[in-house]
Amino acid sequence: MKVYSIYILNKAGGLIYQNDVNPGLTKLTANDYLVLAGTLHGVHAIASKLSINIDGMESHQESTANANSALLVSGRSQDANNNKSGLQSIETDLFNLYVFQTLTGIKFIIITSPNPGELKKSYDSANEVFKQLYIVYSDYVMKDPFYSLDMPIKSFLFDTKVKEFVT
Amino acid sequence: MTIYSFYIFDRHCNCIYNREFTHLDHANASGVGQVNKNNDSNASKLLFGILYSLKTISAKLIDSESEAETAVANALKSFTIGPYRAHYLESLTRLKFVLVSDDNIDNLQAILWELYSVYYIRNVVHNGLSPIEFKQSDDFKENETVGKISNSGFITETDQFLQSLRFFN
Amino acid sequence: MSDDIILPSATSMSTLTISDVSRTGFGYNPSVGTASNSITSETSNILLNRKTISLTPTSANSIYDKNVSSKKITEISLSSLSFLFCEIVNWSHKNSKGIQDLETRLNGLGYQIGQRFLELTKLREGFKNSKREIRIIEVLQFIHGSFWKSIFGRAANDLEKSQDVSNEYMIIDNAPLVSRFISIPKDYGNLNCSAFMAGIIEGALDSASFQADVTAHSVPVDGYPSRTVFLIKFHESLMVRESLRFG
Repeated sequence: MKVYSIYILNKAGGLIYQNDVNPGLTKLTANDYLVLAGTLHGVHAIASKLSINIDGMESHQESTANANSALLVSGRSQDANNNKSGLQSIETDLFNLYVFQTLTGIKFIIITSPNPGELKKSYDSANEVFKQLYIVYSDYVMKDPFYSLDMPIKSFLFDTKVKEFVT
Repeated sequence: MTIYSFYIFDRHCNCIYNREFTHLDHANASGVGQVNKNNDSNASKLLFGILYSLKTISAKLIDSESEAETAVANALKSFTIGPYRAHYLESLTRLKFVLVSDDNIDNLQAILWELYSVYYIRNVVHNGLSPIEFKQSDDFKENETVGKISNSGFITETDQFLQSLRFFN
Repeated sequence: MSDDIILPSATSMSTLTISDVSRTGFGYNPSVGTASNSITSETSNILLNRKTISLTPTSANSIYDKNVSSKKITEISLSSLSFLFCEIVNWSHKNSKGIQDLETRLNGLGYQIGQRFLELTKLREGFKNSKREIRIIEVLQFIHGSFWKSIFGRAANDLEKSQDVSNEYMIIDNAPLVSRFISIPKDYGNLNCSAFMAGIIEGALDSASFQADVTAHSVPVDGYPSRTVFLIKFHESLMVRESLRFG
């Protein structure tokens, strides 16, 4: 699986980081990327509404409550991915897209090469990328005093580290 | 592995067919699951909204001209929402077929193609008495079932076909 | 199907009512939007539970209850340190008039730590094998070696003498601990947050009676983007003293 692109969205749906790490996708204008991010954010919100509606599955509120009590009992988060009810992945002919959401609503989105027939395997490798990305994000973005929350990420150390694990 | 529902949207963005399959609990499973019809739900509208946005994104992110082998735009195949996976097929006449299954089923393109090329063509297109445009008329009243496929042949045959699949339950 | 309005991102809090705030504490709820992880009385109760409170100085297990000359290496979380330093830089930045002023402030904060840590390191070395360094080269080796080790867990990477100027020395660290995660934006010029560490060195040297000015300069090389050179410039009087004593 090859990672084409990495996006990071803040909790209001604004694009705060965009990096085409490997060639494969069409270059869009800066404005188009913002629209794209906003659309994915909206689709994610609609999808979370829909998935509650399709079946009597536990609502988002309840699953957050479970995550919280598990966090308090064990002292550690069971699963960093808070994306239980929203849009999780898209498969198309030429690329796959995966969405990861942190507990605070930041969305990591990666676009990869398609792997037909290897559903579980590409899920696992996407999760591995998200794990690395989350670690690098918490280290090189959140611990940078010159970064203000929800604003575009310009840290060059973050750029370097991202390139290190996707290439 | 389970199939939860089946939707068809026409080129006017209307949902012209939807079918939800209720599955009984495995513990007291007495046989095949019931099939029930649920027409007054907004879920189809939300689903269409998602479909439409994702379709645009798929076509936008990869320029078809840059890929020499593919003549058509990059097509959406499926997407996952929570525990569900929606499989998607669009015909050249812009009819959209959607099957919602659980997220263990990798690819249902062949099934969608069969639903379209065999059952839809045979029961709707070849059927002289069935309309092929399901546009709502101007004097449309609420809760009227015009604008849906109400053809009994199509309904029974697709239900039988879907229930005969090994991963239906 | 409920007919609630879907709010992927509420622009202001005023569009939401109190009942929209998730009753269950933390977590971003995509259909409520940004307000879902605000701090309410429930969430602050979680924040202030027994586990977090136990780290305050009044509890029986605090840092004040530990033996000061203990040989045991005490480790603290790098994340906590980085977040604290992040706030220190932010706070100094807010109060400062410019880049130069910010560096001076960070240097000043480090200075006090250097003064205190010199005492502590000497105390922990033990009185038997400890001695007071009186030559420039010896005190620099002490800073570069055991002093660095007691603060940052390892010795500095290099110690060099300037070839042109006789009173200038350089301590080089390939990845300074406090600025490991910090990238300086382009419009901040040649600011280096390791000015804090330069302050520590300056404080330690000053209390050992080696008056010096210490500044931090970024000299990145391949593989070490945050490599920093600490330039130590001793006062002229000190060079005279050195030549009188050992000349």
